[in-house]
Amino acid sequence: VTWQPEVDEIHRRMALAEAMGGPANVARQHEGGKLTVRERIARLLDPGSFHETGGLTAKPVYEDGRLVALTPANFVLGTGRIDGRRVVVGGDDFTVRGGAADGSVAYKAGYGELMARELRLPIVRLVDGTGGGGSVKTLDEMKRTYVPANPAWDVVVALLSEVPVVGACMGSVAGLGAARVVTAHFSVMVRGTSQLFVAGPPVVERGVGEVVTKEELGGSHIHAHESGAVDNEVESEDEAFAHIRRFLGYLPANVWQVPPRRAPADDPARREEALLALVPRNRRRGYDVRRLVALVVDHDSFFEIGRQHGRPLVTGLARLDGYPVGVLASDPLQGGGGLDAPASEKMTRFVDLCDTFHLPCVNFVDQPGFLIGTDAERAGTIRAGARALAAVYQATVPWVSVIVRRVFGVAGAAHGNAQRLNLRYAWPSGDWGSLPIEGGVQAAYRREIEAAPDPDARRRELEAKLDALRSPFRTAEAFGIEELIDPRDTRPLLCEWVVTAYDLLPGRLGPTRRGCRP
Amino acid sequence: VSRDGVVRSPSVGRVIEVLVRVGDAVGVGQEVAVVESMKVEIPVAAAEGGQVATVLVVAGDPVRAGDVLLTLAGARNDKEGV
Repeated sequence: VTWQPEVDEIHRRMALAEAMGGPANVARQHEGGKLTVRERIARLLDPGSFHETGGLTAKPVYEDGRLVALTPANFVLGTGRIDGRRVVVGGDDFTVRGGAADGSVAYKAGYGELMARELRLPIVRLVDGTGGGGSVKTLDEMKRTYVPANPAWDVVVALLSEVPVVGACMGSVAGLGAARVVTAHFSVMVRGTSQLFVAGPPVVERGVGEVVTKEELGGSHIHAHESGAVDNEVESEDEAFAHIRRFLGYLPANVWQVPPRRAPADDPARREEALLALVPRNRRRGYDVRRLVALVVDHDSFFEIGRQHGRPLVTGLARLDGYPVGVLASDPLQGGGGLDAPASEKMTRFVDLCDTFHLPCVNFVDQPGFLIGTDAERAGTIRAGARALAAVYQATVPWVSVIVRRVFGVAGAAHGNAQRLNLRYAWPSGDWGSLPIEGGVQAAYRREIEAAPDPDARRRELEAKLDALRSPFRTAEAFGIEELIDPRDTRPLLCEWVVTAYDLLPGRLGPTRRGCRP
Repeated sequence: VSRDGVVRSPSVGRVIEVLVRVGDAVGVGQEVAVVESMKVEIPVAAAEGGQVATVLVVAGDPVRAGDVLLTLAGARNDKEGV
């Protein structure tokens, strides 16, 4: 007189669903160098922490009223923990219908998005298929067509302003699936086994006559390197899970919470001797900006986002005395660090990410200005750059700039919001203004130089005179820069700043007035 | 960085110096030229080893991002070069 038979039936059905698309399809998935959706979820989450929602959703086969077989829905959904913190996770099962959605999937995926929104939990989408967009086969089954609507898209968009959203491209992902990957704060794809495109090779060949392979069309070399549609490229699925776990570790569960501090594992007073000589005295020589960042932030705490794209700007998350912060840094070895259109776009997204989740920002500045030249103009550098400026000026998160070397032009001026308390520390290598002395002297003083008995000597004299005026001490005398610091003091100063910044956060939580866009 | 037997300019700018000549053996990661962009000198390294077959630029030449600076014969992606 108990309900044990029904309880047993629940377990039987869940066990049937565990078989996914059957041994042959699972083997094919593995042969392609890919894990199944259930293996992925298990590896992403803390061991044993997955709790499934909708595990009974399936296409059943009944005989005499008894279920004898089932095809599970090809979207697996649930919650689990990452470093002990709860998240929503959902993934396509490519072993069933090649990941193409059946009717129940749109509801399941949409339910997951709603869970994330109403429970205010981060969401991870493991996309491997069309992820809800259906296939032409659906037409044959339904005997009718339909006007497309993107399921639960209001929630998908709203989530960006409320909880961390991660999109992982885990296979050949097209259409709506592709849109779900990139409608995220952080996206990742696996080199060689994942591709992303609006439409795959057969559709492309029919539509525009281009004959390409999946990899040529939408491999990670396209999206993580060229287009910037996906943030990080990884070498394996396990590395993808590691990136996702790491990314979420810096973020709060939602915008109403303060980002999580970790027990500090590094001395806040650490002063690195190497910083004193890191910037070459020769202004024309670059340096390793990632080394600079690594020397300043907590040991091994820098997680770079978008390394292969928009390379003049390095962006990533890090910790100072255990507190998560956003880090921006120009890379002088990539086009001199000049902001081009891709780097500007990267900057906009990164500043919006930090502002949305109240991550205080540290900007290491060595900015020669927007990239110049015909190619840069064609790329729309000025509008992309103006958008990055707007992001900096709309941000209300605590912000500090460390001026490492150059601050030139409009892009340089955007190192911080000059109308706010523009907190900044400049290194003695600071070099700023709007006039490049080298080469500029010849143009500006042409007549005087030509009239001199020894024009070359006169030019050198003028250059030396102007070069002396370039000293950052003269700027400091006029309070044009508030502080020149010993580069070795950078970390202690930032670790003191970050405590103050975090004291301010509780009063500033909640969604920002401007929403976040992908 | 391409691995197709050519060394390309990483940025728009001007060639400051070409450090190799036709016939020179070049190893992976060896600096072969310097391009100045936005007033910073960017060292250009070979992504693969090989023997310099042609040098297409001289110091002072303006270049765009992706322009071929030199080509390598028998390019091999190893440490020793050829």
